[in-house]
This record gives sequence, structure tokens and C-alpha cells, in this order.
Amino acid sequence: MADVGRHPRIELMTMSEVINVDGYIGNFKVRIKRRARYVNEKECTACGECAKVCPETAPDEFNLGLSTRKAIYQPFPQAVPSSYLIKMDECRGFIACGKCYQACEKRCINFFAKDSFVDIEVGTIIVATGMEPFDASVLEEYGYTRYENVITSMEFERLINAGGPTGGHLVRLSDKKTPKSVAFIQCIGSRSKRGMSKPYCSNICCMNTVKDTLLIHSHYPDVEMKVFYMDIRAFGKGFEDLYDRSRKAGVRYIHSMPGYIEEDPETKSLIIHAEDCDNGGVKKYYADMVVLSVGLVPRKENDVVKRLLSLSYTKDGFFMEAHPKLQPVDAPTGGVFFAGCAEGPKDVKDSVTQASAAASRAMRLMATGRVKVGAVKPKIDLELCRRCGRCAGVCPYGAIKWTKGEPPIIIEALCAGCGGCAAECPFGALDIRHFTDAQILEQIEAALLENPQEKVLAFACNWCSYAGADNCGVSRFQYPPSVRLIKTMCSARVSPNFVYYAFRLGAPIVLVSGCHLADCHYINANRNTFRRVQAMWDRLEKWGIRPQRLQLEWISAAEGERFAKVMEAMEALRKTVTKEEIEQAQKATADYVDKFLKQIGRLDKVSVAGEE
Amino acid sequence: MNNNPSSKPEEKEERQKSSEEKYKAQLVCMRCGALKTEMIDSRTYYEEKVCAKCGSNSIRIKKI
Repeated sequence: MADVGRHPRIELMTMSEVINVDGYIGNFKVRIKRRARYVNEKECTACGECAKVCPETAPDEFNLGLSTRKAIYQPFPQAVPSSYLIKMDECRGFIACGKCYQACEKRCINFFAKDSFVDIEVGTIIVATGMEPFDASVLEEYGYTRYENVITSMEFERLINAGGPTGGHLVRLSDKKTPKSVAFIQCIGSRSKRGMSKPYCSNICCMNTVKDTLLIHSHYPDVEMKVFYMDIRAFGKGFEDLYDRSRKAGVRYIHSMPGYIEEDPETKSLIIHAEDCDNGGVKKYYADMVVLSVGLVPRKENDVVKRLLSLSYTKDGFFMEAHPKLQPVDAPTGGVFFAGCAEGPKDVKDSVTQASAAASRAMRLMATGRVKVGAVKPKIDLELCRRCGRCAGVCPYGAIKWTKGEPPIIIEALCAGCGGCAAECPFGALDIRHFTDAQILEQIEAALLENPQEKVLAFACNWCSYAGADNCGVSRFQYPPSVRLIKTMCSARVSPNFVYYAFRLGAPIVLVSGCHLADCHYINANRNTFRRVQAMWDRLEKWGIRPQRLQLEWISAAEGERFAKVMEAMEALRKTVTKEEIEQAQKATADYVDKFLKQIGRLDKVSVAGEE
Repeated sequence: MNNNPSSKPEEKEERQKSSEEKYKAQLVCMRCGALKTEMIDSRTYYEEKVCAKCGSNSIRIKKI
């Protein structure tokens, strides 16, 4: 941290908040709000004279409320810059008090400082917004905040830290005495779907507890320790060894998840009610202190970062990487990278590894000075464009700039090429290079050229469903030969016009398939697919076409077997579609499709089987 | 990257307000016809839905 503060090419902006990000890879324009510190950080020597005279006290956030601080304070001893700051909503003010101002010989304090705004231009952005510990107070059965001697693992860390509120001495909060027995309860807020708990494993808690037990054992060998666990996940290098050492040190590992905790009102000791999973039966365990090993949850403020940088979340609520295996530190938005727990729970070692990788990825881009972008980009026909701005509204990357009454401007460096904008345009003004309307219509025509009533037309996205089809093929799963696949980069490219055109040409079943909803390669473009298919079902019903003839499936690249099963189901569904139904659909879609074909100048090129 | 037309604060507020509203909807499996009634809002609308009977994702959401 101190090295970062001293580095000539790193500008550290503390107490700052990114309030707007504009632009794209290599050309980001960032607006930063710098909150007033009220203390001149360049002049302040952190002598602490001001804090000594400050009459206001508040819970110290760094020590998680286990100690207090003044309204003028240094956030923590190693803070960079090494300077004090005033929390103005806790301060009595210059007129009512002003004691700190009098105490500061260097006159560093300025009560009239104001927040300022800074605009900077950067080429790349690394998101390292971290995480938050799970709020254990929501699990009422464990009595956190109700019983003084039930603390979280974060609070425990501060208690045993030499720079912490007790100078590193392990004490109970109720009587400030060293506990004779300590119990750790694992998976608090993790690996559970109950209430506010999170279903994922938080990665760090097991080894943190193992480390804590060894630390207690080395300082207080007589303290008896119990660890209640579901599974001990000691998966890293040297972790199993550490776990063995802890067990050999006499720590009792009990395979159980306690049901609830009671407090002895006299001694303030705790009674843990738990089922012993190995030996059976519900038992009572006694401990002077209980440490709840809390899991990690995404930060609430991530929503702002998500909006500013057009990012997306995984199901767990952490930021989603561009690809879990091949681009684990890249965000879907070009020029943005992740480091640390912003992307998922991880320990220090993994965070450092990811941060190094993110720095290298950013450096590689900046050293080159130029970036290659994909060829699959939208092109706009200004004659057809009605300036409605719907394309800009659906772009998950914010790559289309639009102002009312003006034609949209496409920022190609920002666009990833999902094609959702082209599918959204009701006037056919947008097209996607290499996946043009004409190309896809030709493919539909070719697929339904002969015996269309015997075909299932399936649109598959490049990254998941089409890869799922590949997986199905290489795994030698059989699926009906009636299926005709058309690849698009994203399922969002599938315009309703393509579907209606397929029905117009006599397709009995049309399938739209893409990545699972939380796994879209293009942030969340497949939500547009979902929304459009819902609208298409409504329209088909209105036209008297059985809506079941349009199907929607999310198939991932790993689901080869599922792909085969879905195709079998499509074939079974196809057999239920009668000749009359097909003819009726052809007639019902005729006007709509003809209008569309006329719009894009293809009306004369199309011939429908059975019609002159 | 606020290039979207919907980035005006008042429009956003309005959209947010309407998106928070829950409504009763019938979830219809478009493959097997199974029915289910649920309360839907803007967040749950885009959650992946799977038919418990046939495992299909073709779930139609009909506001009732």
C-alpha cells in the first residue's frame, strides 16, 4: 500500500467515488467525485494532537465497532496517505467546537473544504471492489448481537490482531477474561438456501478457521477448541497440512451444523445445540465464546459499478467474467478487468494472482496502443432508420449512442456483435455484418427448400447452443435428422421476422436456443430473446397459430446430451403439427412477411412452396 | 457508458418504479402444457424458468 502511494506513476485517489464512465476501450472518460477530507493530506503528519482534543466519539469501523474513534481520525494505522480526516456528520463544527483546529500547529485543518470533481481519461479499468462479510445477525438462532460472546470471524480477527482493540489478547466481550473454550461454527451464510444465506461456498472460511485455531493454540495452549463443520474444504497448496496440524494440536472437529445457541444468563457462556452427524443424536456443547465463520457476499455498491461499466452478475451476485475458463479476468465490456473478490469469493493468494493477471491484461492492451475488434458489427441504413432509438435501448454494452431525433451512432470498439439491435429494429435499418438478414433468410430458405413440413428449424447461438450441438456430435449422441440448425452469434440476433418467415415457408416447428439466462456471452442480451419470444407467442396466438410451434430452450456448451433430448422432443412435437396447421400459418404470416421482405427489397426473390 | 436513451434520471426513476411492481402471472409450459401461477416482477421475469414436469425452458408468462 505504501509502495503504491509512493509510486511516481500511480495516482492514489482516496475518499473518491467514480460517478460516471463514458467512452470505450482505450478511451474511457471517467468522472470522479473527491470527497472533502477537511485536513490537508500533504501537510498532515498524523501526529494525532487533533484527535486527542476531539470531544466526539464514534464506533471504529476498522475494528468493527469493538473500539471507538474520534470524529477526526486516521481510518487505520497503515492508511495511505498517512493523514487524518474529519467525518463531518459526526463533527460539532468549527464554530461550536474547533478544538482540533486550535490543536493543529501546522494549520492543516480546513472546515470549509468542499467536494471536488475530477475528469480523467484512461485506457483500461480494473474493477477491484472487493466483498462484504455476511450479516450474521439475520440468523437469529445463533444469537449474534443478542449474546455478547458470540462474535464473527471478522471481529475475531481484530481481537487477536496485535494492532487491534485488545492489543492481540483473546478476551470475551462480556467480562474481558480469556475464554477457556472457543467454538467455531462454519458456513454461516454460505452453502445454504435458507433465508438470506447464500448457496455458494465462500472459499476462505475453512482455512481461516484452521489458521485461527492454530493461532489460539500457539498463544493459549490450554484453550479448548471445537469446530462445527459441514465439510472442511482444504483444497489449496499446503492447506491439508495445516488442517492436520490443527487436528494434531487437539482441536476437535465436529461434523455438525448447530441448530441454535443459548446463553447461560449468569456466566454468559454459551450452550450449542447440535446434531452429531457421525455418532448420531442431538447433543449440547458448551463454550465460553462462539465464533461464527461468516461467508462473503457481493458489495451492495456493485450495482453502481455494474451500471457504469455495463457489466453483469452471475447468479451469486458477483461480477461475471467474459469467459470462466479462457478469459477469467476480463469483463464482457472491452478494456475492463476484474481483480479479487469482485468477481467471486477468493483468498489472498488467488486475489493476488488475479490482480497480477488483470494488470498484465491491461498492460498488454496499453503497450500495443491499438486493439483488434471483431468483424461482426452492426451497420445502419440511414434511409430506413426512423430515429426511434430502440436499438440503443437494447444494447447491453451501451455501444449505440442516440439522441432524440438524431440517427444512432454505433461505437464499434464498444460493440461485441450480439446482433440484438438488428433484431429489435422494426424498420430493417440495422443489419449485422456476416450475419445479415439476407444471409439468414437464405439459410432459412435453403433449410426449408424441400419437404419443409418434415423439418425442425433451430436457431442456435454460437457460444452455447451451437457448441452444445458440437458437444452432442463429438459425444456421439443421436438426434433426429430432421433438425436444421442456423447459427447466430447470439440468440438475441433472432429477429421475429426470421421466425415468421420460417412459418411462412412451411416450417412446422421453430426452435430458438441460446445460453442459459445468467450465462449470456453478451452480458444479458438473451433477455431480449426471452422478451421477444414472449411477444412472438402472443402474436402467433393472435394469428391463430398454435404458439407451441415456437419453442425456446437454453442449452449450454456442456449440455450435449440435453441438446439431443431437446431435439428429440422437437421432433415429437413436429409430428403433432398437421398439414392444415402449416397451411394456415403460411396464410396468416403472409402479409406480415411480405411487408418485411418488401422493406428489405427481397419480395421478388422468394417463392413459397404451393403458391404461385 | 451512458449512451442509452433511457439514461435520463426521470425516465429511469419511472422505469424503476414500474419494474418494482409485482403482478400475478400464469406460467405455461409451451411443450407439455403444465400450468403454474406465480407473482412476477421485473427481476423474476428474467430468471430462468424450467418446467417441473418436462424440464423445458419454453415457459410463457401470461399476465392474469
